[in-house]
Amino acid sequence: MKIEIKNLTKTYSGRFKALDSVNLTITDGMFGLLGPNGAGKSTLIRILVTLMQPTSGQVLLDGKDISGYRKEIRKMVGYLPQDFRFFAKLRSWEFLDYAARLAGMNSKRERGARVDEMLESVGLYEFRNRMANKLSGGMKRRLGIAQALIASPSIIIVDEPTTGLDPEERIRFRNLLSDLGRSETIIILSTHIVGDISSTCNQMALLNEGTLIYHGTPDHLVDQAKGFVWRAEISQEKYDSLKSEVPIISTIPSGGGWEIQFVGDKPAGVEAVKVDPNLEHAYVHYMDNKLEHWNLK
Amino acid sequence: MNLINIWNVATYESKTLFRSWFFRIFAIMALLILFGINMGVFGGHTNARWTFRAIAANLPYINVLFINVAQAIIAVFLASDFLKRDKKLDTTEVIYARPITNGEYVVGKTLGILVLFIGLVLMALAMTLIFNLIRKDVPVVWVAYLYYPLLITIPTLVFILGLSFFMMILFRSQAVTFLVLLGYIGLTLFYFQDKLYGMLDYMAFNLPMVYSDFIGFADSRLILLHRLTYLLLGTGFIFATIRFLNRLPQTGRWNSLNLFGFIGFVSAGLFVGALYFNSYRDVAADREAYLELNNQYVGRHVIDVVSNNLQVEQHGKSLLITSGMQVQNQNSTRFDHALPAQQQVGPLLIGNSPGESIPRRDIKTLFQVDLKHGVEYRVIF
Repeated sequence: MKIEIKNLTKTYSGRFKALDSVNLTITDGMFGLLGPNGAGKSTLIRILVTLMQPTSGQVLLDGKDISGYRKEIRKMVGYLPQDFRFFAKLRSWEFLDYAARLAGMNSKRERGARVDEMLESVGLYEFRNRMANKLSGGMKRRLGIAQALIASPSIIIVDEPTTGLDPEERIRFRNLLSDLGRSETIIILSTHIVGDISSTCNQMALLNEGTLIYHGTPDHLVDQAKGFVWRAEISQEKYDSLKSEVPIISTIPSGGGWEIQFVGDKPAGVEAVKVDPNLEHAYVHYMDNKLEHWNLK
Repeated sequence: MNLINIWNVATYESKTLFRSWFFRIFAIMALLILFGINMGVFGGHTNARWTFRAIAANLPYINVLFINVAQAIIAVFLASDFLKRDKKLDTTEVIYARPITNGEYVVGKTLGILVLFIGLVLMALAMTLIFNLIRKDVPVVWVAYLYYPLLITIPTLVFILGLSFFMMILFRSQAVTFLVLLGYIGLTLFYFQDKLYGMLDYMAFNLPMVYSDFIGFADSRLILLHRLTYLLLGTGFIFATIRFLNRLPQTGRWNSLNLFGFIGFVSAGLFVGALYFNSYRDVAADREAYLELNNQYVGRHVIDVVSNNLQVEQHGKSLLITSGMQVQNQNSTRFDHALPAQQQVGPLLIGNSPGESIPRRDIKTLFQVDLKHGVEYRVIF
């Protein structure tokens, strides 16, 4: 299965360009969509799940334009929106049952079995009779992913799924998605949290202000930041002057000064050692240095 | 449209609505108030308000009419709240991304509310029936328990739900929708009332709908036309809501049909409304004619009716009524012709000559008694 996004542009109210000629190909596996808030990720996702029409351009699924096959696409997609909450007056199992019915699962027995299975797999079976709005934030997110998966979709799209979750819930959620990524499905994970991508995705895209600025593997993105990540121990006075020159991504108090990590070219007069970059470093490197280089900043 | 999808949406919409405190408090309050009204008017040994009990069908009529007004107001809140709630909680995106059509979604939502409200009306009618059965001097008119929900509740709810949904789509603001619709309801109850022959009274509050055990409704055609008008308009607004729903349609073809549905049903509603208006205008013209006719006889001699023996015989679809009337002239002067006092001027007992049936608007004269020869007049209708 292959999703091809061709010259996709979305303009709101004839002025603001949320997406600007985005070209992208997504194949089976986990695909990470990374970018700061307002980068256009949610707009792209809403177009992919047929909730929004692009101003121009196309999205093709296995060569077919999705705007002409909305019913078929909607049958294939499981979607968890960014700010999703629940019908307050439905129990957890009822909410999943409703989602299953809307997805076309008409057999009551089959549906009941699937609801129980999904509740088990997201660890909510013992809370099946609890009202959905009485669940904790992490549980709600898990219930949200369960409703997205209820009809065994071949395309799963989750928008900012880990926002607001505690670390334990976040790890649990990532693992859940990684398990799904092993099957022949496309999973698109949109997030502004770099850690979500680095631990789960084998392909990724970086969006900024509606423009696609990177498309490839997370490792390749990390490679490009090699030689640009530094660690240094500096005084308070040096720290004050340095923070206006380079993006500092970690600061730990050390003696009378700071142990810092920063991204970019090493400024003159600073004693620093190179550090192996991770995806977070690479992201900062891209967003700061590359955009400046391309006059996009 | 897939009926299963509609049923699925309706099932869960009514379930969430039923569990909301707003609906529960409204339902309990409405039933308690109805219980109080029934106790006061129809319960116990009180002889108060015997006029309500004189016609047995008034029991279900009053109950349905009361709950209908309350429901019509509450439905505005619920209908607009449903769309607002969906938007606020972002739950629409999860539903909208599912393979259901806009039509299935909107019709399912409408049915969900309808089913719940009809359930409430049935509960109110069950309570009424208990009062009816206890009250030995008021027989149960079973058909009235069917007619009133069908004629009052369903058209009212379909209309106000369709209108509320449509207004929400149009204004995209719950506050503006409330303001407009509550204003409209207020005008209907306190200003429009029977203006334009009750044409603007979508709740049928001022429509003459008393059901007699003997002759049924006074004019069932007019009632049907009035209620059908609002049923069709409401259905048209539901089609409009489907057409203009803020969601990409599943298929373009159906979306065009929804536009035709909107135009077609609203046009049909307006046409039927025009029929009602014209028919009622005819009735009003008859009334004017009777008044005018009466006024012509203001100065005539009037004699008292001592007795009036009416004999009614059925001949196929006709009734032959023979009136043996004894009159008495209590005036101080003698005269040959006079009007019987308390003569009801209507289509039934009017005739120019014996055995003649007269179209109402052709009435030229009132029934007069020939005091010299004692003529027996017969009127066939």
